[in-house]
Amino acid sequence: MRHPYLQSAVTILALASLILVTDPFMSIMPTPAQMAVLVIVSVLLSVSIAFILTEQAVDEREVLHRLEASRAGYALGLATLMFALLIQGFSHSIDMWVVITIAVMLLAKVVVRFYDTLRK
Amino acid sequence: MSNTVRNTVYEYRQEKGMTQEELAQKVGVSRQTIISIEKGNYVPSVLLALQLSKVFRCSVNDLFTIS
Repeated sequence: MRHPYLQSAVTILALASLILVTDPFMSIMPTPAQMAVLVIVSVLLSVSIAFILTEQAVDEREVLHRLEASRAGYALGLATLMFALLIQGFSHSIDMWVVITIAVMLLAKVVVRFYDTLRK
Repeated sequence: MSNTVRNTVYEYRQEKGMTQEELAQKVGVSRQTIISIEKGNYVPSVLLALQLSKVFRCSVNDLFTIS
């Protein structure tokens, strides 16, 4: 990781903003503030995506670490979405964005693996 | 039956009087990678193993063995 402290700071701020955007106590976030936090979350998540896409490993060991971190993030993300789908399914109120996200994650993995197999 | 890889990188490095940082720079990896290799926590790629053997002027088999 080239900028570990910066990436960690962005992650912590993004997590804090995500908590705020859910308005956990239903009283501290007037609508304009919630909109502002949404913008902040979008910016922070975009920065996180930029870090992921531009990440360069120093050496082969860091390549392995990056791979393990990616697999953990992917698997836990998919598991969380699956759990959300189950909960929403049982209450008959499935959010389509959960379905779309699961589909995008599954397709992205398969397409990239297929592309890499053809290319290499 | 699982195989483990043992190495003598630490011994060779001591013999040459090199620091971990110097060795890391010579083979193009981080010092943490050299530390991991010496502790046996990381098995390097063939390329890195060959680079290490070139620095120490020995064969890869002298540096790494399977047990």
